[in-house]
Amino acid sequence: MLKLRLALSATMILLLFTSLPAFSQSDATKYFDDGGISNRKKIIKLGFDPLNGEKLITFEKHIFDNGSFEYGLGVVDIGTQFRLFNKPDSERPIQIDSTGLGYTATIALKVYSEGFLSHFYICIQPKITVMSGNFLASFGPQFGYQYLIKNRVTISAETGGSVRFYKPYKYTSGINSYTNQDKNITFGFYFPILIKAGILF
Amino acid sequence: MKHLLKLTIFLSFIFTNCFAQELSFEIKSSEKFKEKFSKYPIDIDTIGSINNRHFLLFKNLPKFRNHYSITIIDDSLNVLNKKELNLIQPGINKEKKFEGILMINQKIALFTSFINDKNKKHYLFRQFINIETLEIEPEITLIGELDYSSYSKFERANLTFEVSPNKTKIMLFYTILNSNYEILNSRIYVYNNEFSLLWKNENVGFNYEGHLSYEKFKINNSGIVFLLGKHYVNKNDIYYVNFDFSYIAQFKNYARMFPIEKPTFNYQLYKMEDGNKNIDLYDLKLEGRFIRNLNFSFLDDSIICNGIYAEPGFISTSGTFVFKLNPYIGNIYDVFTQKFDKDLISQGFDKKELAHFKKNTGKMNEWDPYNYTISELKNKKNGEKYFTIEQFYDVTFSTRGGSTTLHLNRDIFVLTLNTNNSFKNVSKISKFQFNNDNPQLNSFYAFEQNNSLNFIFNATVKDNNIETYLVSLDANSKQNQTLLSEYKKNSTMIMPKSVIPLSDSSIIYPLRDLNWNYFNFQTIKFK
Repeated sequence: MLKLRLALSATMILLLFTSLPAFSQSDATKYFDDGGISNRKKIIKLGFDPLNGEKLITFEKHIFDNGSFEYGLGVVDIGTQFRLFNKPDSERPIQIDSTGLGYTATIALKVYSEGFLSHFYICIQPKITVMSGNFLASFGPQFGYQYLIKNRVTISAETGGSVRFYKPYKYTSGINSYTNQDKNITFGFYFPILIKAGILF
Repeated sequence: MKHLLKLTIFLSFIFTNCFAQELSFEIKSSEKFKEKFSKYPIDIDTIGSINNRHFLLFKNLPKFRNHYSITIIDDSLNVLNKKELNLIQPGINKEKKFEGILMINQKIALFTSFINDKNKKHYLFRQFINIETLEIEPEITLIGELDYSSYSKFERANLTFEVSPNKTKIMLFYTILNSNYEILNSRIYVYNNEFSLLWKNENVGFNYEGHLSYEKFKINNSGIVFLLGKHYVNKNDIYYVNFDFSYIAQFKNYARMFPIEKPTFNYQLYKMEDGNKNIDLYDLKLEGRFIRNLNFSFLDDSIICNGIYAEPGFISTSGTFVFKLNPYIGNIYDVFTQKFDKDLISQGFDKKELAHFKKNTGKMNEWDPYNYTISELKNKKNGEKYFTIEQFYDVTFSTRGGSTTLHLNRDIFVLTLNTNNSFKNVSKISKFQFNNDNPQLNSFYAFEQNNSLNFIFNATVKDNNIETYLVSLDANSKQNQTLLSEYKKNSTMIMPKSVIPLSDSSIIYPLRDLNWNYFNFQTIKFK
């Protein structure tokens, strides 16, 4: 009986000391002080498309649960585009010069497979490009994979298919013999392959 | 297959109506309503009841969005209050992760967590929710923390909680996992119902070779924690069956080979208690039989296990069992078994599927590729006990947009036991349910009323439509089937896993339509 009483007393004392503390809001602050890591919802990225000759700077911002918007501006090497799309046998070549620098602007709605910054995502990415004074508009789905290093650096790669609308050269005859008299808009397929590195803040 | 299905439903309907006894009950429905976030799939959990006020948790399925709201309804199905949980920690502007909600001692405890990447710690918190206003109380208590600084592959944390049968003890199993869901570190906390810590084990390690699948945690009234696990020497020991889902319109192009476990695993029960740093391990084996599926519950001072068995070396179900286990020394006693007649378990597969399965196993006596859910043993008012066994198969397909899981649920077997736990009779309730990515409408709810066992469930019928049935099983195991509702456009169907039992043996349950557009509540009161 004495042993039982001693055991009960010991249990009661143990309970007094082992109950975990409750905190008011301000006391709990230290558990949430993560140096702002969990509040990092924006990314600035530099991107490179080796296939299409594009260099981009983008800004991504978390908008809702697993979705974000990514805005981008960049330059395009017109020579690379010319070599890709204005081949001698091209039926609908783009109205661009054979060298020079073009400009591009994009806005993408991205949806991550799980929460924001989880690895896989899909995006819809309308894009406007200006090359040699002509506008090209593209639109299409893309998918990508993003990896987060040390909660600060992101590395991502994305690809997909886009339909690009533009005014083509009108083919006359002979190699590279085009006139730009065709005012009808046509379309062609365009396959971006983007590799990006970013800083999360 | 399709004709067989139609014939089964037709015959079971004719059969049950021939022997029907008049069931007298009244159904009352609330108005339909739209949930704020119902454009995304929603599941509903029952939290509990306080003084005829019933608390339900509406939650978006994690794959889609993370919104949680609590709704209070009364016995008359009036919505008394409704509030979305705001998981932003006030004053700090940091979002906590929802981990769970528990009603205990007439209080509602909310478990949340926060990953502090600076400290490399995962913190677990408890707050109470005001049962009138449904506001989260400002007082926040740290109830657990796990350090992941030494685990480079830390991916996520997981919380499992259980309450003892007399609701005086609470167990939290808190663990951190890598991306393959492998446990990196675990802790167990046991609290009383006032959330005072009784004991904890901060370095839980289960000693086994191979792979252990955690099936179920339970805590008894003395605060002893049990883990039921399935132990595999080699997790990849599987057969394949080539399911032909041509009878399901959406899946006719997705016939694939799907895995069935080989009979090379065995059930183990781990025991953890205060003052004992060792974890006791009991192998759950029956001589001359292979335990296929098992559940356990507490009965007085012992543990009672119930389930189904196959012949040694086989996976196909051939009978059912009940036995007791001494939780102190681990010996098995009072074993009762009941062999199933071969025609009791209708396979529901066509000849080609079964032929492939038999060929793959290399055993012509294999005939049952289903998985089984075994309920706990439940007491009937007349002193008898019962438990249920439900056939199911969940199949995940790769699709163009990712993956989708088909949930196929089949028949229910009802095992009634005498007061000494010997088998009294076995009954079968035929049903057919399938859904993709949407298991909330599958399965069933069982409850006792006027010495009859009642089963309420949806059934998939012609053209993938859904009808809701109430099947009553009287003391002589005669079935009476009542069609509660037929599918119509925008009609709502029962969510059988979210039923609220009332004190007079009637029930309240939520319903929703196929597109998560509309919800409502119903109650069945027996006369």
